[in-house]
Amino acid sequence: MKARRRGTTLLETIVLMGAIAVMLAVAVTSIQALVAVERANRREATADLKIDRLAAAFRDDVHAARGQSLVQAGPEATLTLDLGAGRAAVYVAGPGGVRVEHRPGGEAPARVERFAPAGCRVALAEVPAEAGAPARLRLTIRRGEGQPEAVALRVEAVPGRDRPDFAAATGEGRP
Amino acid sequence: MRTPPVRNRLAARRGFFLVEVTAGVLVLLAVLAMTVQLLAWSGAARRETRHRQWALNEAQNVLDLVTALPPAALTTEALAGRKLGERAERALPGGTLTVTAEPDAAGGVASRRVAVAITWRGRSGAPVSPLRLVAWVPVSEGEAP
Repeated sequence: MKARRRGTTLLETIVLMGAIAVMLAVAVTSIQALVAVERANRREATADLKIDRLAAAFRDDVHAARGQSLVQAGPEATLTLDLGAGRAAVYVAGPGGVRVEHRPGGEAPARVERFAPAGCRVALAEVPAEAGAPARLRLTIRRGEGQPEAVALRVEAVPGRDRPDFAAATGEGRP
Repeated sequence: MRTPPVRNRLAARRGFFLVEVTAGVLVLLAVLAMTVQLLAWSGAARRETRHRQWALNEAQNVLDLVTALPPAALTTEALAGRKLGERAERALPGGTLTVTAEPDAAGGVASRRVAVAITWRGRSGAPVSPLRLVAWVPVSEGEAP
């Protein structure tokens, strides 16, 4: 009797293995879920950074512009900003994101940046002047479907604001 | 009545097995809870960053508009009616916009100091310290009040 009860019983071993299996299953599924959440977080953070960079570049270019033309062709909008001294910035926006081309003028090759974080749509528009607001250019960045905030960012910049002659140019309407 | 020593050891062993499993489960739960907490913090930090990004962009938008106005229109009273756009209000819970403009002759140049401040409800529900952008618009002699 005493000899038979020494050591682990089969039942004990089975219960132990069952408990370990349950714990492992819980651990693996929750770690998988956590890793997925973390990955999504990181992707969003990267997209936010890209959106920031695009917004800053757009605002700078619009502020420096001496002239602009916006051509809407189907789903694509092309904004050409004349930066003076033969330099230009071209923004081609569409459902697949935006392509930014900086032409330094002369023979130097253009610097092209593509901006298309997953599922982002970019739209360009001219906003006419109204009471209490001058004309401006608008860049809207939308996140893909099913995102919490559909509009990630909306940049509205007044063209030519950084030009030295800006005050004189807009001064016509001043009292 | 003395229990035989072998039975004693066995009873102790059985108890030890239960304690082992319970301790294992508790450690696992503690680690998972800590990881979830960390993720919650990182999510909150990301939301905070996004709010700040929205607020900064919105403040720049407002400053762009306001500084392009004629200097005569740059008074706190004339700018008081400005509000956050509908989208910005949706992105910034409880967001409020304050625009002030006052004469400022710092540096010997007659100018108007235009300040844009945006605040919104933070994580605790209280308004965060406002994000402020300031610009100076020079006023030519004839336009000076």
